[in-house]
Amino acid sequence: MGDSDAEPTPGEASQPQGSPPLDVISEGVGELGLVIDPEVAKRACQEVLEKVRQIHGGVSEEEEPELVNGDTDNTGPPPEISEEEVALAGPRNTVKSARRRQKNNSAKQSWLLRLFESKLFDISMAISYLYNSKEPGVQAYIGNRLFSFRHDEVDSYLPQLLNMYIHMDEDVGDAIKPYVVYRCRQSINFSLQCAWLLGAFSSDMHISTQRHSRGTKLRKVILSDELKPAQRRRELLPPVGPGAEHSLSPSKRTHQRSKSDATASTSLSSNLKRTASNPKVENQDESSVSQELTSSTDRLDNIGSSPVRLAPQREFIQSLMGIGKRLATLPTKEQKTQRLVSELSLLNHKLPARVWLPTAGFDHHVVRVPHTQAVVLNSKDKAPYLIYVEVDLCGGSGVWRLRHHPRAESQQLHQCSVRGLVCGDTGAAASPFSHPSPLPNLRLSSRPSPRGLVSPLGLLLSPSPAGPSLPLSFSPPSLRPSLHSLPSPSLTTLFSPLSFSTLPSPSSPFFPSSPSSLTLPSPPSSLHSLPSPHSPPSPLFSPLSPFSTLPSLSPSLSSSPSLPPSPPLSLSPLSLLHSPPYLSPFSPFSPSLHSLPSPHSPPSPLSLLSTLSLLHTPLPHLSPFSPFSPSLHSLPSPHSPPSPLSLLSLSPLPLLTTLLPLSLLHTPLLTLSLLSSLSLLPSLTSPFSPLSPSPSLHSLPPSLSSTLSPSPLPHHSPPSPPLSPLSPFPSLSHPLSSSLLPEIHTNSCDNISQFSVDSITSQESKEPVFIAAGDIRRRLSEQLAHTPNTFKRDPEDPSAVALKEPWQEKVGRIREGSPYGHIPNWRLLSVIVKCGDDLRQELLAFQVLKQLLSIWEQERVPLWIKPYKILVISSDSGMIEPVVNAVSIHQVKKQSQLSLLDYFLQEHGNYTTEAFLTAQRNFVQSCAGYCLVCYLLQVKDRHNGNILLDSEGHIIHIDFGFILSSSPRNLGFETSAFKLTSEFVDVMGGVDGDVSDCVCVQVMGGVDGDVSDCVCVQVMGVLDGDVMGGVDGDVFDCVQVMGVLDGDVSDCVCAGLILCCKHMEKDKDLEIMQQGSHLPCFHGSSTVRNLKERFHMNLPEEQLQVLVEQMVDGSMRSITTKLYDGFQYLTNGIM
Amino acid sequence: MAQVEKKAGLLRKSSASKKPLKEKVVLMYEEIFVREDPAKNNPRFWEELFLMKVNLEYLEGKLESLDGDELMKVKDNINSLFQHCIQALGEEHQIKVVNALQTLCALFRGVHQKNKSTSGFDIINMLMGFDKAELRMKDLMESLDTLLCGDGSESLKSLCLKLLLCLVTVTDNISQNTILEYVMINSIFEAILQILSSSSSRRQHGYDTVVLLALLSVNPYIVKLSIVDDETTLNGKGLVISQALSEYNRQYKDKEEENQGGFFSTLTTMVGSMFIADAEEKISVQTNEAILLALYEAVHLNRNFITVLAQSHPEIDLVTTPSAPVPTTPTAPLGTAPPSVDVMSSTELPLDPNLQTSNLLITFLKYSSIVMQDTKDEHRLNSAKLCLIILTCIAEDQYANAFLHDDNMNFRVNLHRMPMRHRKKGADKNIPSRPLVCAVLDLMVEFIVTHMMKEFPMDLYIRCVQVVHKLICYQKKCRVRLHYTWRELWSALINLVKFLMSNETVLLTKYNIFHLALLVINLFNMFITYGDTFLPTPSSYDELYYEIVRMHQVFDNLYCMVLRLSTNAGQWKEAASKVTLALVNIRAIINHFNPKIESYAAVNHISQLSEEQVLEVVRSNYDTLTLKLQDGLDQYERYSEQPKEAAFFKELVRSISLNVRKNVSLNTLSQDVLLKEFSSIS
Repeated sequence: MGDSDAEPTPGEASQPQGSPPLDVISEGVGELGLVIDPEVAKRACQEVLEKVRQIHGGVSEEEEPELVNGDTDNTGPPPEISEEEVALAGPRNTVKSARRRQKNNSAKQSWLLRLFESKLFDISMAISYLYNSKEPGVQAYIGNRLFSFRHDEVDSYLPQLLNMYIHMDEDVGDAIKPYVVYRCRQSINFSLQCAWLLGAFSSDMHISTQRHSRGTKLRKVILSDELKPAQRRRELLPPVGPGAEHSLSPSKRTHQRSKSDATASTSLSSNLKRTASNPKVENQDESSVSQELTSSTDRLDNIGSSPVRLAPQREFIQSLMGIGKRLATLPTKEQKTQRLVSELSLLNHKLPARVWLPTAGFDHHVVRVPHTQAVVLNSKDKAPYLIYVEVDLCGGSGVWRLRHHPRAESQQLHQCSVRGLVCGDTGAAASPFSHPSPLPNLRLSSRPSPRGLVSPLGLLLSPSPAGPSLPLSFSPPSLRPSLHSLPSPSLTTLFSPLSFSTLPSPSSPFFPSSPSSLTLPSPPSSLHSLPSPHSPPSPLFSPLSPFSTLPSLSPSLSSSPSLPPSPPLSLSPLSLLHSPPYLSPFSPFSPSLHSLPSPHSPPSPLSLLSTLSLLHTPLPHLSPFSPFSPSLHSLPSPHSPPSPLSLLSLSPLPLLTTLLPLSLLHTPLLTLSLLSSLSLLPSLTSPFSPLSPSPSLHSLPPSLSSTLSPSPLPHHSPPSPPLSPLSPFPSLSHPLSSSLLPEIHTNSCDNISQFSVDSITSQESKEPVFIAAGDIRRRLSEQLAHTPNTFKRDPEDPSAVALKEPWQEKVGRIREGSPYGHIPNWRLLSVIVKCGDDLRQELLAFQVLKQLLSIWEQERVPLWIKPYKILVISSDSGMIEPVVNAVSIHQVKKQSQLSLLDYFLQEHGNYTTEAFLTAQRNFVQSCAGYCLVCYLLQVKDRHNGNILLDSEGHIIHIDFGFILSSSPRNLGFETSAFKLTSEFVDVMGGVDGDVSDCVCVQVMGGVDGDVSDCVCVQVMGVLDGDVMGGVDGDVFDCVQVMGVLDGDVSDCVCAGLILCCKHMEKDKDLEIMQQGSHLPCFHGSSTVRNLKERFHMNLPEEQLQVLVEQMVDGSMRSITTKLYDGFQYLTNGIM
Repeated sequence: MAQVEKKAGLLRKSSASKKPLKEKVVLMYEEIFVREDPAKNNPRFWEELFLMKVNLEYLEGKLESLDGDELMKVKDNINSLFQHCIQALGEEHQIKVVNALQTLCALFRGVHQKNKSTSGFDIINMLMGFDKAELRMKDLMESLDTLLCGDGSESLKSLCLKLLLCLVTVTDNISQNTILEYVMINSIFEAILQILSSSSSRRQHGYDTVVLLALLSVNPYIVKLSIVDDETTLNGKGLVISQALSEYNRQYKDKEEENQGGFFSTLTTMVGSMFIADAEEKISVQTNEAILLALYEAVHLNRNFITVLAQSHPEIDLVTTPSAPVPTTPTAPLGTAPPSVDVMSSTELPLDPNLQTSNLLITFLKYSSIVMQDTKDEHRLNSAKLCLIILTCIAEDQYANAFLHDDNMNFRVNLHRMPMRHRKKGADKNIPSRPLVCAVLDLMVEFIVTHMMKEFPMDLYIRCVQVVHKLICYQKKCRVRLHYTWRELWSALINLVKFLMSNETVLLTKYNIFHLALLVINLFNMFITYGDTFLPTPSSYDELYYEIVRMHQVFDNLYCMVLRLSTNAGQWKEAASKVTLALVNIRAIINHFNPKIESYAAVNHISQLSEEQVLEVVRSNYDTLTLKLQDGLDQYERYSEQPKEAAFFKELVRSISLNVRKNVSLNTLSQDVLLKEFSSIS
C-alpha cells in the first residue's frame, strides 16, 4: 500500500505501460501489423501517460489540451480505414468530462492502474471493467489493452465485446473498434465471425434504429471487404486469385471452387493454356470456365463490387443454411434425408473451395462433403442436420499443393509431351498423362476398385508418398480402344479372378529370375519418338493413337526396381523370395531370357511386358503353356525394328494377354502397375482381386511354404499360420488395399480367417473339401452377435445410427472411401447446421460452461462438462459443433429398449469390470457437472432427447434454448433444481448404493468450514488483485480434499458451486449480454439477480451442503421431472 | 415409307403451287447442275445463293436423281458449292451460315444416297476433290467448332449438330463412313462436350449431343469419351439421359393411367394398350435406344460416369437453381438473385414434397422395368438386352456397388410391375425406402418371374441371373448384409428351374439350358456355402434350407435329367455333368433333411408340418450335415463387349443410325420455321 504511492513516477510507469502494446507488434503480427500498430502503440502510451499524470494531480490541468491534441493527431483512424470511423470529436469531449471525475478519485485510479498493469489482469477482468467502468479513459485503455491479449482469449469474449459495441454508449464502442478492425484485417475468419455476430446482435433492435446502428455499419464495412489488409500476405491470408476469378455470381452459383490460391500458379497454367495444343480441353478447365462465367456475370449483374475475400465462405455457409431452410419444408424424415444427401452432393461439385468450418479450432479448408453420411437430426418442425466434412489442414503439404502445383507442373509436362520431349525422369514422364485438371483425378481416385489399381502405380512411381503422384492415377487415355479393338478373347479371362485359381503354384518365388533383368531402364529415346495422345492429328491418328500411350508402362515398370526397398511396394522383398531350387527349370529357357531387351537395345514397352511374361512362363507347373514359348521367341524384341509403335502394331497383345495371367500371379506388383496403366478399362479394372486376397490365392500347395520366407513387410503383424505360405501376397496387397482399396466393410483380418476356411478349395488337390453346415450357420450368428453395439436403422430417426457409430470407425470408413483420404493432413469434421433456431443463447451457455469448466479444471474438481462450440450466424441460424460418440438418452432407450443401467451394463460390461466402473465414474462426474449447470443457469426443457450419453458414459446436456428465466411455453414444469431421475441414480449405484451414500457423507466430511470464507475473501481478492495467490491455495486445498474423496454428485456439486461463487465475477458476461438483448432468457428483470442468488455467495459452507443435499434429494424425487418426461413422451415421443 | 410419301407430297405441293415461276434458288441450283461454272456469268453467284432460302427437297432430290456418271460431270461445280458452303460458314451474316449448313446437309445426304454402291473415296472426290478433301474438311470442322463454341444463336448450334448427325449417319454402317475419318482427325469432341457442360445449351441441344456422342463412339472417339472427367460435362450427360428416360417413363405412366381410368374391362385395356402402345411406343423406344446406348457407353467406358449414376437431382439444373430460391440474408449486400430464366428448371420443383428425390440410376431402373415387360418385338428385346448389359456393367463396378449397397442412400423405387392374373397391381405404394440394390434385385426377380414363356428369352435370363450373381459376389466380398427378402429370389429361381424342366424338350432344341441351370444352382450354392458372409440373419439361412427342402421335387427332377443326359454321350453331356456336380450340396441338404422331417412328423404324429416346425427340424440338424466346398462360386466372367457383343452393338448402332437419319431429315425440314424467324431477326 505504502509503496504504491511512490511508485508511479512518470518514467517508471510509462515503461511497463508502453510495453504491452509494443509487445503486440512483435507478437506474431508480423509485417501486417505495421500499418496499425505504431499508432496503436503510441496511442496506448499516451493514454497511459495521461493517466499517470492525472494521478499525479496538478500537472494534468496545464497539459491537458496538448495531450488532447496529441490524441487527435496520432490516434486518428489509420489512413486506409476509409469509412467514417472513430468520431474524433466524441472522445475529446468526453475525455474532458472524464478528467473532472477522475480527479476526485485519483487514489482509486492508481489502484486501478496497478490492477491493470498486473499480470493478473486478464481478459475477463478487462471485459468486466470495460462494461462497468464509466470512465472513457479506462475504457480507452482497456480498448488498447485488448491488443495485448492472446487472440483466442479475446475471441472467447467476442460476443460480449460486440454486444457492448452495439448496445453501449459510444465511448465503449470507440474503445473496442480499433481492435475489431485490426483483427478483421488480419483474419477472414474473424471478419466473418464479427459480421455474423454483429448481425445477430443487432437484429433485436428496432428496425429503424438498426439501420443506423453502429453495429450494422461496422458489419457492412466488414462485409464490403474494405478491411482487407493493405499488403497482401499469402501466408496469413488465404490467398485469393485475381479478383475476377473469384468474384461470384450469387445468383448462379452458391459458391465455386476457388480455383487457385496461388495466383502465380494460375497465371502459369493459364499461360500454358494458351499455348496448349488443344485449347478446348483447357477450356473445360474449371478456372477458365469460371473466368468466363464471372466475366459474363460481371457484365450482367454488375457485381464487380462483390466482396471477394469473404465471399466463398459466406456463400458456403449460406448454401448450408439454404439447405436447412428447404429441408424444413419437407414433411418426412426420409424425404429430408434424401433431400439433404442430394443437396450436399450438389454442394460437393463446388468443392473444394476456399471454405472452412468456423467451428473447428484449426486452419483448414473443406475438400469434400461426404454427402451420404449426412443425417437429419430429430426436430419437430425445424430441420437441423449433421454433416461431416473432409478437410485438409492448412500449412502442410495439403491438397493445395496437390491440386495447384501439380497442375502447373503437369501442364508443363503436358506441353513437353506435346512437343515430344518427355523427360527421362520417371515421375515426370508419367505425369504428362495426367489430365490438365487434376481435381477430377482426385475424384477419380475415389472410385473404389479401380483406384486400388490405379494408385499403386502412383505409389510405385513416386519417390514420396502418394500425394504428388496422384495425377498419375490418370492412366493413359487411349489404351482402352487398343484393347477394345484387339481380337483377344482372353482379355476377360486375363483379369478375371479365375485365372488365379487356375495357376497351380505361387509365383512369387520365381518372380525375378535375375535382378539384372529387372533393371530395365526407361529409355528416354524410345519415348521421344512416341507420339503423345495430343500429338498433331494425322490420318494415321486412329490406328496409332490407341497405342501411343503405352509408353507409360515402361516408366512404371522400369521405375519400380529402382525404388528403395523400404516402401511396401518395392519389389525387392519379392525378389528375396526367389528360391534357387526353382530356378533350374529356367535353364532351358535361358536363350529366351538372353534375348530380352538389354539396357542397350531400345526396349519397347511391350517388349518389357513380354519380358516379364517370358520370365514367368517357363515354370515347371505351367507346362500347358509351353506351346507359347516359341511364339514368345518370335515376339518383337530388340532385334525387331526399334520403333515401339511398329512393335505394337505387330499386335503381340493378344499373345500378351494369354501370357499375362501367368505374370499376374508371379508379379503382383508389376502386374499391378501394368494393370494400373491399363486400368482405364472399366471392364478390366475393378475385379482385380489380387489386392483383396482372393481365396484362390490361398489355395496353394503347402509344400511351398518352406520356400517362402514370411513377408518382410507384415502389415498385419502376425500372419496366421495357414497363411504363412502366402504371406507375401496378403502383406503386399494389404498396404495397398488398406489405404487404397475401398473394401469398406471388410475387416481384413476377418477376411483372412474367413479365407482360411475358404482356401481349402484348390484345383490341385482334387479331393473335395467338406464343411459343416452347422459351422456356416454358427459363423453367421456369431458374426451378427459381434455387432450388438450398432443401432438399427430407423427411418424416423436417421441420426441415431450415424451418431452411434464410433467416431474413429466413421473417420476410417469415410477416409477409405474418400478421394482425398490419402492426404496426410486429411481430417474429418462434423458440424450441425441449425436453421431457424436462435443460437445466441446457446452461445451464452457455451461461454458460461467453458468458464465453469475452466474454473473446475483450475481447481481440479472432477466435474465434467462438455461445452460445445457454437457459431452464431444470424439471429435465427448457426452452427454447432457436435459432440462425437454421443447419442441422446432418448435414442439409447428407444433403440436398446433397456433401462439406462442395463444399457451401461451392455455397453461397458458387468458391474465389477473396469470399463463399467470407469463409465460409472464418468457418468457421476458429468451428471454432477451438469446438475450444477442446470441449477445455475436454470436450464429447462430437460427431456431425454436433450441429454446425450457418450461412449465413455458421460452425459452431456444439449440445447440451452431455455435458460435462466425462460422455459418451454412457461408451463411451469421442471421446478426442480436440476434433472436427476431415479434412472440416473440407478446408474450411479442406486439410492442405497455406495455412491449415493457418499453423497451425504462426503459432503459433510469433505468440506472444511472455512472454505466459504475463503471464497468470500477470494471474491474480494479478485478486486484487489494481489491477495489472490494466497487464498487460492486454501481453496485449492479444500477442494483437493473433496476431490480425493469424491465420486459423488453432491460433493462435486458443492465444490463446484463454491468455486463458482469464487469466480462469479466472471459471470459478468451474462450481464453484458443482457444489454440490449431480447433473448428470452433475459426476460424478467430479476434474471441476473436471481442468478447471483443462486450462487449463494453468503451462505456458510454447512448450509450450502444442506442446500445441495436438498436439491439433490428434491430433484431425485421431483414429480415435475417425471411429469415433463411424460409430457415429452406423449407429445413428441421422446422416451 | 410414310416419310417418303410425305416428302413427295410436300414436293408436289410446293412445285404445284409454284409451277409457273420457279423459285430463284431452284434456278440457281439448276445452274450448278450444269457443267459450266455458275460464277462465270454471275460473279456474285455464290454470295447470292447463300442469301437464298435453301430448298432442301429440290437439292437432295436432284442429287439423288443423278446417277454416278452424271454427277461426275458436275463434280467441279459441286466441289465449289461445297467449298463455298464452308466459306459461308465463316460469314457474319447468320442467314448465310444457316443456309450453308443446310446446303451441306443436303449435299452429304444427296451424294450418299446416290452413291450407295460406290466407294467412299468417290464420295469424297465428288464433294470436295481428293486433293482438297483434307483441307476442306478441316475448314468445315473448324467452322463447326467455332460455331458450336461461340455465343452465336442457339439455332445455329442446333443446325451444326444436325449437320454432324447427318454426317455421321449418312451411311448405314458407320464404319463405312469415310468422311467420318476427317471428323476424327479434326476433332470437335471438345466442342460437343462443351455443350453438355453448360446448362443452357444442354437444355436445347443435349439430346442431339448425346445421340451424336453415342454414335460417334464406335470409333476412336471412345478414347476421349472414356477419359472425360469433367464433372459438369458428365453430369450434363447424365441429366440429358435421365431426362430422356424419365420422359419415357412419364409418358408410359400417363398412358397407363389413361387406360386404367376408363371403365373398360381389363381385357380391352390390355388389348387397347397393346395397340396404342405399339403404335406410339415403338418410336419412343427407338429414339431411346440411342439414349440407352449413350448410357451404356458412358457406364461401360467412363469410370467417372459411375458417380453420376448416383448423383441425385432434386434440382436437375445444378448450376442454375440452387441459390435462386434462397433469399440471401437480409443485410447481405449482394445483388438480388435474378429470376431463373430457364424453362426447364421450372418443371423441377425443388420444393415439391411429393417429388421423390431421384437419380439417374433410379430412372434407369424404372425405365428398365417398363422396357423389360415386353420382349416380344425386336426393338424391345434389344432394349431389354441393352438394359441388362448396362446393369451388368453396373453390377461389376466397385463404386457403383458401393453406392448401390450404401445404407445411407435409401430410396423408394417404384418399379413397374406387369399386371398379372395372380397378383394385384398397385401394391407398390408402400415400398420401404431401401438401398438401391434392393431395387435392382427386385427388378431381376420381376424379370425372372414374368418371362417364363414359350419364346424363352434365354439370353436375357442368363444376363439377369449373372447380374444377381455379381451383386452377391460383391456382398460376399464386402460383407454387406443386405436386409432383403431373399426368399422371393429363391422361389423365383426355383420356379425358373421348374419351368426349364417342364419345357425341357422344347427348350433343348434351341438353347443350352444347362448353362442357365448351372448359374441358378451356383447362386444357391453361393447362399449355401457363403451365406454366413452376407445373409442378414441366421434365420434367413434357415429359410434357405426350408425353401430348398420344400421345393425338393424341382431339384430332384433336375438332377434326374442332368444325370440322364450326362451319362448318355450326347450333345449335352459335358454341360449336364457340370450341373450334376453343382447339385451336390443341394442334394445333400435334401437327402439330409427330408428323412429328418419325415421322422419328426412320424414321431409327433403330424401329417402336415408347419413352416415353424420344419424350421425347427432344420435348425436342430445342421451339425450332422456336411457340405462340399465348390470352386469358383464367387468368381465370374467379366463383361466384355468384344467379341461377344460386337455383333449386337453393330446392329444396334446401325438401327439407331438409320433412325436418326430419318429423324434428322424431318427435323431439318422443321428448321425452315426457324429459318424464317431468323431472317426476320437479321
